[in-house]
Amino acid sequence: MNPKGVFAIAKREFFSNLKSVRMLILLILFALAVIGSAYGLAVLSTKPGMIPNPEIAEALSMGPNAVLFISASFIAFVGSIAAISISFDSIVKEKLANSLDLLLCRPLSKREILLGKFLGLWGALSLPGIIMLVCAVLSVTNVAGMPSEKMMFGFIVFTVIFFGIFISIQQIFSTISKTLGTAILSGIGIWFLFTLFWTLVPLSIAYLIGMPMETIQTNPEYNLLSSKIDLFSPIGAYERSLGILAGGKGIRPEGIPYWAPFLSLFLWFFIPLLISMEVFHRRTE
Amino acid sequence: MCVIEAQNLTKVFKGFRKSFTAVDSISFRVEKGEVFGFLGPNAAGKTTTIRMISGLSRPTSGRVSVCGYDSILDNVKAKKHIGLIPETPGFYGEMKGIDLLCFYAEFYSLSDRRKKAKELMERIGLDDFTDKKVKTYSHGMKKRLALASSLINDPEILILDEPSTGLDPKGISLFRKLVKDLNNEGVTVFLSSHILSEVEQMCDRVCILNKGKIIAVDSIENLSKKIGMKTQMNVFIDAEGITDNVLDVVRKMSDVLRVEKTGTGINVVCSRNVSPAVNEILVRNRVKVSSIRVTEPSLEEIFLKLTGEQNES
Repeated sequence: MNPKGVFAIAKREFFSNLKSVRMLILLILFALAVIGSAYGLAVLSTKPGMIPNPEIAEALSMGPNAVLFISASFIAFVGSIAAISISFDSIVKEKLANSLDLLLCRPLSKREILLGKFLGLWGALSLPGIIMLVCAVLSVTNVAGMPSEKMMFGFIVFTVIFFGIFISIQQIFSTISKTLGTAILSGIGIWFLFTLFWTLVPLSIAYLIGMPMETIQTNPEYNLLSSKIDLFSPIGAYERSLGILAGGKGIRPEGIPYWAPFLSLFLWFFIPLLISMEVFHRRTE
Repeated sequence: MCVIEAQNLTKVFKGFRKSFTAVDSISFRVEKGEVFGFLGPNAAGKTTTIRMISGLSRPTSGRVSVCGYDSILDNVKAKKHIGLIPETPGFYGEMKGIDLLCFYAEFYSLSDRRKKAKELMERIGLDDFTDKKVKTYSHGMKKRLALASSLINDPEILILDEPSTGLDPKGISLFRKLVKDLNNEGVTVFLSSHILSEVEQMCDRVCILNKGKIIAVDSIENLSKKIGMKTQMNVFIDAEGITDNVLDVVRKMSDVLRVEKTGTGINVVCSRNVSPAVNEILVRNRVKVSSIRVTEPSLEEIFLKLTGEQNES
């Protein structure tokens, strides 16, 4: 193990991404999605009459924990894009620019090189991310009251873990890709799969196994199926973990053990990271 | 003492339908302090071999050790002894030259990285560009920066993959001088090139590779001797008063293949150096000899002969 080498790569990756133009664009998106959604939802939670959807109105009325929980949906949407967009070219760009060989010939393993890159990218996204998340918590506290300590902790820590998951997944595709175009396209595919397509998976399964579609949203069997399937998606694991911390009817996942979303989130963090290290090790032969 | 030892080194790239053997069971040794030339036409397997020596690529079979460390099993230890300059080195353009060297120095436990980086920038003649971003460097400057980055750890072995690619004559000359100086300081140089004159000028021993196989490993002198037996040698004689009778006598000499008249004298094409004997005949026949010049087979001829023979077989 060469921790100095890992740190050197992480540091370079961190600063080069933090100073990049794309980070500036992401900061604007982040500010809108993280602080904007949290503040907006906090304001709405104090004026339930303004919300046309009764389910959301009921959820928001549960207090600041619920506000943070619902704003996490916006964060998942934008956070996954942010993670993908800062990491899609992390490997492929170096391969195309021939700078990878000058890294690979240094005295550290290929897995360590990838770990260094991951840590740098994760840090570069997490630093502004944490600042935004803290601002979001402060704005919710100011408008709707203080969320519970464990919810504030979970809101920040789980979101940072969530960034790491998408960075690892994208690094796998960045390693496999031979062109920047393929890397971008695979990133869009991952984002599409987990943000949009995944919501259709439990519905499709419910339809296939013959659940009545008219009453699907109130069917406890469907809710159980949906909770279980969500554990196989990083967004699902993230939202369900926050749901456990937020508590409340309709927010806390039903029918699954309380530790399952946390375990899923933990596995979603480590498994793609380990796979990305292995893929990088094999693909740079 | 051997610093690089390859044993039955093989690399096969597996494709969707068929495989391609880039390096086919090659074995060679590189001794400490020598300049070892690795010569071959394009796609001979030179870069693939270099990647395996440097631990960048895993051999399909066989092994290679660097300073006694297996390039795969002791990959990290082996890499500590190597400085590599790839054929087309790429850098992080947004970094300053000196910062880039400091970045590479971080991988080694160096006490004063900035001082070392500054020294290297001076050595390669880029001391005026230390604070300039690498993206503003010319191709030649980037090559020199690559040399500096490969020397950051004071390597025992310097591996150069086609170092002259893209350099102008002045750049080539400067680069060769730097490499020669390093070799004089005790650094073993492994030079891969398809430029024969470069290898001829710089290397103590040469390994000729073609289609993934080694076809010869020896010093250029020994290769010349070996190949010289099978190839032609030219003895150019500038002389006045060579008659047809004298030409006939020379033609009948053993080892003389043919005699051609030139504007200033004759060219004796022979299978070994017959210049003393020819000179004796000419002087005996009262021919006024003004100069004798013998051309032995060049590395180019050796290379073409060997690779040509392999291609025919």
